[in-house]
Amino acid sequence: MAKSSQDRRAASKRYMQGEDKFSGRYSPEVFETLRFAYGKHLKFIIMVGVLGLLGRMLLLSNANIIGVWVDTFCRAPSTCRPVATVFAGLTDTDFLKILLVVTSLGFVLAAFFRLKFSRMSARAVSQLYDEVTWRTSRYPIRFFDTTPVGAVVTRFSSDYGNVFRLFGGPLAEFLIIIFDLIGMFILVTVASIWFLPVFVGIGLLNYLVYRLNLVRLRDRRRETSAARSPALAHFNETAQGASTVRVFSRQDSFIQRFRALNGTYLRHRLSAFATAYGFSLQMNALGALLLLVTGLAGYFLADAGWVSVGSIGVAFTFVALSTGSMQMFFEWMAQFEETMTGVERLNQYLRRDLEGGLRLPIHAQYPTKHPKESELTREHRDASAFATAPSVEIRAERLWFRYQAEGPWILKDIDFVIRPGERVGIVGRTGSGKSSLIQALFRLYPIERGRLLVDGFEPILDGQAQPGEKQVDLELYRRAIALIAQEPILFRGSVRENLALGEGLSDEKMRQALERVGLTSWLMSQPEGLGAQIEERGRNLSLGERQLLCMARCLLQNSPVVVMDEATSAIDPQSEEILVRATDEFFCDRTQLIIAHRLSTLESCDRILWIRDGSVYRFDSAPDVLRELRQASAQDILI
Amino acid sequence: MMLSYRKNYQAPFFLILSLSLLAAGIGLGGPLLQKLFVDRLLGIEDDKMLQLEFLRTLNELSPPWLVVGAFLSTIAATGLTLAAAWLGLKESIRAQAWLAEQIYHKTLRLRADQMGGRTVGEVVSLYATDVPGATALLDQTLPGAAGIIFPLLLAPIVINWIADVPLWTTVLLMAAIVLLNAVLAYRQARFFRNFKQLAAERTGLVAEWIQNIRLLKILGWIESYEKKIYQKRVEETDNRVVMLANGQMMGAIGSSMSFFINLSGVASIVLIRQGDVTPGELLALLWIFGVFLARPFRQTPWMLTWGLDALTSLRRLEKFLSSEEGSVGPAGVHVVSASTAREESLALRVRGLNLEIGGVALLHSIDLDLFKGEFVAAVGEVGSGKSLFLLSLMGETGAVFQEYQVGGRDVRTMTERELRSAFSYVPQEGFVMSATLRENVAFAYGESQMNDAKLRTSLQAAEFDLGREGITNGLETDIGERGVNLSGGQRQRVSLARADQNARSIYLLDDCLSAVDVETERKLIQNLFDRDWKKSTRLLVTHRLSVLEHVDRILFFQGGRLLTQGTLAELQASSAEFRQFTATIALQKKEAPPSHTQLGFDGGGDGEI
Repeated sequence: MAKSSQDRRAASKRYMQGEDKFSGRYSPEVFETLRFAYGKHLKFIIMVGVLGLLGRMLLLSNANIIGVWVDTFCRAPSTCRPVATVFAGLTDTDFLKILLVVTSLGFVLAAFFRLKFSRMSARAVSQLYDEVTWRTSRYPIRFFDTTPVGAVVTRFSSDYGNVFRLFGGPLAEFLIIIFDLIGMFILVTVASIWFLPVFVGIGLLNYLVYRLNLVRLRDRRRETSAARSPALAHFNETAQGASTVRVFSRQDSFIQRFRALNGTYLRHRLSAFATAYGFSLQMNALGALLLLVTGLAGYFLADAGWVSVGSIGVAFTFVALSTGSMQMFFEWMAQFEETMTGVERLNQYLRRDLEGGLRLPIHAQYPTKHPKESELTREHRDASAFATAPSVEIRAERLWFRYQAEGPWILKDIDFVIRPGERVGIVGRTGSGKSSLIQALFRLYPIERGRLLVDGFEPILDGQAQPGEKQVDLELYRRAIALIAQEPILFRGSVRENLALGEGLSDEKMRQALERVGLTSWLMSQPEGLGAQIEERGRNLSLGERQLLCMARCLLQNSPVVVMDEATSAIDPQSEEILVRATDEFFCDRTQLIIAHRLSTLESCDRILWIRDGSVYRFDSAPDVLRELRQASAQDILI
Repeated sequence: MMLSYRKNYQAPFFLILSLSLLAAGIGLGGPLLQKLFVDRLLGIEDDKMLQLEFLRTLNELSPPWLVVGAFLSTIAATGLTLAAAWLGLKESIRAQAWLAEQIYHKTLRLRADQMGGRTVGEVVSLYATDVPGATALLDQTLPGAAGIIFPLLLAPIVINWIADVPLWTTVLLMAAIVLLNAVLAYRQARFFRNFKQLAAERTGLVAEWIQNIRLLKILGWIESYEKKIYQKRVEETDNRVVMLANGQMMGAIGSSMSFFINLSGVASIVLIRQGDVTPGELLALLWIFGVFLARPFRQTPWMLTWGLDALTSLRRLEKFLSSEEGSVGPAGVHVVSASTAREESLALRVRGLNLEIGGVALLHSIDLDLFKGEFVAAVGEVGSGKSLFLLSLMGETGAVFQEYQVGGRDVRTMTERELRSAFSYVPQEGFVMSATLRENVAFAYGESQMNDAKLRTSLQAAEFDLGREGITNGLETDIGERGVNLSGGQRQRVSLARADQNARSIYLLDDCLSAVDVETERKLIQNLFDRDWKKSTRLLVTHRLSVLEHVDRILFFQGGRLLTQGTLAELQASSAEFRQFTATIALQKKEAPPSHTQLGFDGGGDGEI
């Protein structure tokens, strides 16, 4: 118990900081982002907004018209307001007709506003989503190393979900409420100037109640969602490990745990609702109180002959309606305030620096400071003479590499030349830098010192600069290198998508590739052929099939350089055979780099690059290096 | 299901209903008193109204007191409405606890093959989405509907009485509006279901995109994959926009309807009654429609939408809870005939094991004897039935046995607990829960520090050295999703420590070495499998050929059959299929001494691309 109150204190302290942030306002960037999203629709917004306001005012003027109508009946001249001459001669039927026209027109205009505005807003927020996607894709690998997958996915799932939910329909609703308030402000002033201060007072009082509840409302909501995650995680685990739980007969312990976690969550949920109900109760009580004051004040004012009876009726209705509207206004307000956090979180992913050398796609629209693809850069890329031969040279010149600035150097002063078409095995113990060399080759991390050239080219890493003579677009550069990873990775989607997503290759070419790797009969057995669906991570395929599919993907990539990462241990003898075929058969005319763990693989290489502590220890013909490797291994020396 | 729930908690329903009715009744007092107030102000004597005794009494009050009365009745109505809503909420929370536990119990009972094609994610979403969704009936729909229905039902009667507007006019108009709302709400609920589905699909794509961002960058498929997400996003937005349009229509109708009804009320006075309109009538109508009915009309469509959505959730929950179950443990082991021979040295005997899931035969006529203290490996390609065989032995699949005995006892004579207590199990990829390391190894929540020494011994035996693994807070360290994220190899070793801690006579180990490096594998076999567990029976599913040299016997599975068994040498001599399985490279390996086949290093650690 003590702990939970402590937690709550700590939690509310944290939220208080969040509160400071709110009162200190969101960063100007957030509003700029909203401008990106809504700016180009501004004219449209103003147009439909005016119509919407007009519509709501027409609907609200019902009460004014009835007020005038009532005044025409007035039989006690002392308390009656004189009826304007325009209305004096109207019959009941005339009033009815006016009401009908005003109500219908108001309805049509307001509905028009709602439909048009919410649709526009939904599209605008979706555009924000796409823009965030286009940037996130292009963030440096370092960003993904340091940010958990879940944290990134949340921006696209719940953050976006929350923003969309509110900026879709509720924003239109919210604006309607604002229109109502504006309308009431104007109409109440028309009915009687005496009720103006009352109206303003209602607003201020409601705002006061809102401010009093704001922090508590938000805290309860956040506590609830914080209490929910452990319960969800526990449920998830149980669903996954049910067999283990049963085998060890631990059901009781698990049920107890779930009851405790779910109970905590539900208690928070109850308390969050209670707070919301309390807020609602306060708002309602305030409304009723205001009505009382209006009635009493109206009575005495009318008694004194300062206002007409009709006006009292109108004012009464307005106070009732406006407290309702005010209440809804502040209820939505609390929610929008919460949602702005979601916008801010999306905004964050809109502003980070892209990976050097990458540009936003040509269809990106938000004018953030990122470099962007243009017809010119496209032309340059298409005209490149880079890596057109079947196999190319790889050259490292005084290459130093590390994963992050200030971090320790992983590769130190590396020099080598791998000739076109050569098959080079890379060995070294864990942490020696083999994988880092591959990461450097793919330019997944920036190279700070030295050079690493493919076909004599380097990728352009500054999106803004003019490309030099022997420089090439980063994406094009990467495409020149194909990777066969330890674990074959497939995506959810069709075979076609997994082979060449968006490359526009013909089915014929894909079939040929599948034939070469020996998957023809497998393909035949799929009723949907190339359209056959592959499940998440390819779990509906055997390991061998997955490996072969990835191999076919590499074949279709048709890259002059092929990098292979041999499996650490004999995961499946079949996969080894596939690797042998890859080196000897499919990619025999390419430049091959193999991170090798097996003697047999190394024996088939032309040369072996032995990396030790980040430096090249030996780079010689395979038999020479192998001899030394064997000795080191036999003497149990850590190579 | 709801019936069984209602039986337990019937009273609150009536309480909520009566409170709401009371609130609606008292709420009517507001407009009534207001009418009296205005009439008095204007000096009108409404003969009809004053026929009623209590209204005459009320009318004796001075106008300010009438306003105060209106205030009090409004406050009372608000308070009662909230009380009803609060009761509904309490009830809903209770129902959520009840439903969540039902789902949880069911999840703990359901065998893998009984999930009815549901993924873990889908079962979790039952808990995460459908439980609160279904109980919205109690915390939103019930008090909401009660609050709405009574004003709607009472309004025509009161209007008829106050203003003499014919009953049928109002009833007909309101019925038409409710019907229109129902149609819109039905559509809305359908869009909403679609939306949830599409959003889940898109999130799936996003997760795949982020998880594989390296590969996508390497392949140069970033833009193409973005397009894939974009297409799903567009599909989702399109559905959402239609849903919005529908919802906005609901909103537009809801928020304007009171004006139309007001209009029709006035119209019926003017046109149908053909009489004079009195100001009091006009104002009373304005009040009733503008204030008393405004909120119900606004809320009706949403009430209906939530109600329909809740019913969908309820149906999903009911389907899950009523799905077939109950046959795990010995009940899930269908043994056909009595056990024959009894040998003291037998740890386990299986005859004629067959398994069929969803009409597909997955294991065929498996016969196997495991002897006490034996170390046996099960090999075969992915999907050859090794894991299912292990699960079947524990009664986790509903397999049919001709004969099955464990530890010399016929399984048919054993209780569920007895059968399970014969096995210790390590699943594929290990199993780790979000709890402290202590709780994970002891496999009990809230485990005290009493057994720490024992737990440490088990961790050590499983090659899990706290210091080396970067575990800073000892056994107190929170691991799992909400703590230190363990690697695959670490999860496997924690699971092995758990198995060691919960020692049983038979260890079933499902590929629990797949993510540990060669050196650790060697130590685990040497110190755990071949030393600490020496006296127990061990059955290890593996894909590592290096392990095969250490085991007493190898079971070779192919296509759901136990194709052949024997020592490594025997199998290589006798089985062409086994030779083909271990293939050329494995044979090469035999020629060189073991330490040379696998160079003494591994590249698993940083080979993450």
